[in-house]
Amino acid sequence: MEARLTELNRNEILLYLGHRGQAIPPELEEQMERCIRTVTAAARPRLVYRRLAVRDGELDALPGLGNDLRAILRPCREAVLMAATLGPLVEQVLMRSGVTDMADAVIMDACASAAIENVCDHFEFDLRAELKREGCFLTDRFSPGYGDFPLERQNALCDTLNAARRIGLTVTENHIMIPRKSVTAVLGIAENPQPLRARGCAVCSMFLNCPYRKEGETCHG
Amino acid sequence: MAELLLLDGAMGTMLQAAGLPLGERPELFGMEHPEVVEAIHRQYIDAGSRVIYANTFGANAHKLRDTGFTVEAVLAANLAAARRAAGDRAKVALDVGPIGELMEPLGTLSFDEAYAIYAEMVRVGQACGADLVIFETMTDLYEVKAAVLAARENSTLPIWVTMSFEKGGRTFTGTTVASMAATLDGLGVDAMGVNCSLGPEEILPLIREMGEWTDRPLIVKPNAGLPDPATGAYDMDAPEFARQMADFPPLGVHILGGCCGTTPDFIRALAALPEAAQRGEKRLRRGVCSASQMTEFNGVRVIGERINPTGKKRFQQALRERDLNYIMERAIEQADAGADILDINVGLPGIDESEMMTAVVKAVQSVVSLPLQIDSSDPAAIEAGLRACNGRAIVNSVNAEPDKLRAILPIVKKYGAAVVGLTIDQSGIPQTAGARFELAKQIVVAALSQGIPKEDVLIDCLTLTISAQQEQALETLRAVDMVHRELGLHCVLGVSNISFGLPERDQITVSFLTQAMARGLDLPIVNPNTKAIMDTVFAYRALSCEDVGCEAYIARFAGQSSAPQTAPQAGGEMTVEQAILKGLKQETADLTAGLLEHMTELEVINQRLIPALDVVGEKYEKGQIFLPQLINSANAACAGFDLIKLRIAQRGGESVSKGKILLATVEGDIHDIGKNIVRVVLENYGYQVIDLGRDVPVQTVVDAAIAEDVRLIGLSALMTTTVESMRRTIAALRESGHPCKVMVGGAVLTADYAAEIGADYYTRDAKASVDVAKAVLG
Repeated sequence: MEARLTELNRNEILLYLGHRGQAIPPELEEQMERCIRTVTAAARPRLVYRRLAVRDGELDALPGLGNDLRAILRPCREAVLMAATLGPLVEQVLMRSGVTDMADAVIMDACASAAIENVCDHFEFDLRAELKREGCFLTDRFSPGYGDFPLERQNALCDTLNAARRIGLTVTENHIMIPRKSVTAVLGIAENPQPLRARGCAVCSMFLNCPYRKEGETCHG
Repeated sequence: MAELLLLDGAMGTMLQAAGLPLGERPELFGMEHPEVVEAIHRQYIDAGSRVIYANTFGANAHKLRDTGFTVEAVLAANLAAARRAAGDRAKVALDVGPIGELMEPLGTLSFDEAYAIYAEMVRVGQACGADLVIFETMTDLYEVKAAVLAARENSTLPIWVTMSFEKGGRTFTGTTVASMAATLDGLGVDAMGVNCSLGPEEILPLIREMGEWTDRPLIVKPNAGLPDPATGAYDMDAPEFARQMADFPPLGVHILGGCCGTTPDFIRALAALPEAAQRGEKRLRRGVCSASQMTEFNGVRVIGERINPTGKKRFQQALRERDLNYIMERAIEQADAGADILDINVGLPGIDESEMMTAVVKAVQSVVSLPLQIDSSDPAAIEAGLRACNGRAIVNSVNAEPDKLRAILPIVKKYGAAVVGLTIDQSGIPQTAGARFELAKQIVVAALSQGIPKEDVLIDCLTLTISAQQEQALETLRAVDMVHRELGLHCVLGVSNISFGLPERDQITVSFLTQAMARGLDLPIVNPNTKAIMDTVFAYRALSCEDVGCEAYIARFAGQSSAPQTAPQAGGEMTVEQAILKGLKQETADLTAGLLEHMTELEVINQRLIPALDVVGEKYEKGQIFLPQLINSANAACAGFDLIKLRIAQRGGESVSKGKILLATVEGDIHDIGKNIVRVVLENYGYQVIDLGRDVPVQTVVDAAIAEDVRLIGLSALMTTTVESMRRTIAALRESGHPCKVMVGGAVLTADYAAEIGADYYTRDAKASVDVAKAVLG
């Protein structure tokens, strides 16, 4: 599965920017459009994943990811470990805008967050479709920092995926991923449909492209 | 014909097949099972490998940090296994991979730290009997540069480098094939090439391109095709691998091996390939580059002159206040205007030029991708600049004085730079073209004797001011012509000087530029922000056929109406307060200029700009506007402040400041967007902000607070894991006894948490930091 990035959802970007219904003047609309174009052009989405065995809610190759993930993985015999990144050019664009125009920088940062979310959502969607053909179902996507999934395990996650070599994603001593606009996550593979959290379609990164929504349905049932 | 030199195949996938568990370090596995490693080496040597890579790829201090093993022990054990297997049948390479953390500016690993990590490996590796060092699977040219310099300065081992590219011809960090080849050719590595990431077929076009930029031996060590994403397994078999690899020897590539997924069978299949052809004596392409951008010397290339304090009060102030943001803005501005290379000059009395050169080169590289020209007469500053430069630079300059040539050319050679030679010597600037031509020849001879190829010697025939020495313009043009035609060298000229002291300077400058380009000037040093100059360059490129199909010319000018644009009314009915509220930069600047006609700078700041910002802040607090609007307003006010700063700097007055504030994102954290927002807003309230950047060591904060006598420190941290270094920074400030207040902010902080780690103030947002600043500094 290739990393895919499609059109960003403006509502999601506004959500990240702390927008609460204020009127948006035309100059700001234009600025946002420009920022979306710049970030989209700089993004080089890449992803890497592996299917790993699960026993008693723990990844065989990578135990100790917390009780919350264990609860999610309990019904699973396998899980997918994934990492995705927008690549370093986005990082440079963000740095540059931090020098020339902080408002651009803030908006572009939100755009980049929406973009990496979009890449992950597409992956999840494609994976869900593929597993459906095998008669399997995916759990929610769960990342370090959610619940009690320790951030400290970020390094081990990336090592297991060989993420530095495969997609150029590295982790600092303080467990910060670089490029910063990157995500790692675990998704369980179960034989029965799993309860999924509702996300609110309007701010979902898939909003513009969601096949469920086009059918009047939602991904979370 | 050249005999093939066969390398080995994969170690990692072979070890996995022999029982290495997923996620465990191969180098540690090798310590525990030396017999397994030795057996794999023997299989490769039996298959035909004549250089084997020791199992040392990730045995660096960084990756071994929490393992309880030293670099020395791990290297010694794995090199010993390789040596035992090799006997006198094969050479043993110390195999060195990336450190595993991204380097500055994107990451937190500094150039010096990377250098130290590699230096240790190379020293130990040579002591343990390695025959050469191979840096492989590299993706960051800057890290490669640190590695190569570490090997050069800490061992006598031959140095090989291979990098990993994606199909588009760039590494993950954006390094291009041309940049890699030009930079490493300059640094004098013994062989270079491509390994990993792709199969042979995909690497072929990359190696072809590499061969256009270097005549050093080339290495190809591909994967067995592309990996299956879900399992990581490779699918190509040995016969197919050899079939694809057969394309390389005819290109003159004679060092071949395999990377991920290859086995001794693959090497055996390579042994059946015919000898390699001789590489032709073709003319190599040359240029200067950053990691991601090549400026080839094959047409007019504009060198931007604006990063230079000479005669620029505002720039001098920025250097004295270490305002790197101002300098970065000058870099971005010139890049946007179409410069191909940026000149960097930071020489100013009272400034440590070497230290400042390093800081400015790094800062500029973090925001633009243009190659650099290191401009100094101080050998130490030149070396500092070349060392910090990510890519291949130009040194500006040497002249024909023997002492200068002796001091500077060896540095140019060591770092593989190009060099500007000024046609001047101890007796001054010769008055005739002929005499300048003679000096150019002397410079070339000196460069050649140091091993610097003549294509890298760029001659500056010197522009003199026609208002002082009118007849010299023609002499300069004649000299350019001679150097270009008779010596076949590239020519540099600082063009703008020609019109100094005259009205309508652009008329003279542009006319001189045109004539000089026609005579052979291809590297003009100019102000690219002057539209007339860049227009002239674009027109010249169209006329000289460099701009094929006039595409760049058309792209620049198509759709531009020649009718004069109606000048925007300076705000019309608008007040400066309204302009700020709307976030309009130009209007705010224009209105500020108007106000300054009848108000003092301080009056404008205190009676108009700051009250306007207060109104904006209030609207933000009430939720009437949201974050991007708050910052747009701050930016607009900034345009007003910049105008005021410029006026004061030109007058030579003290800068207006309500007091100094130190800002830093704490050690280990690189999330600086919140801190940057705070900086912009505080600056607009008239505070002088000393921004130490991100990932700032505890001691740096303390030292700067004391050295600059700062009474208010702002610290930012985004992650729970880095709030700890915030606590340590505060403790160190208290311990130093320096009287200061500390305000903290960041996503995971709360007022309680801030109090618990010893901060004086918790600032929820940028507006809150202004309230604190007002309370502490007034």
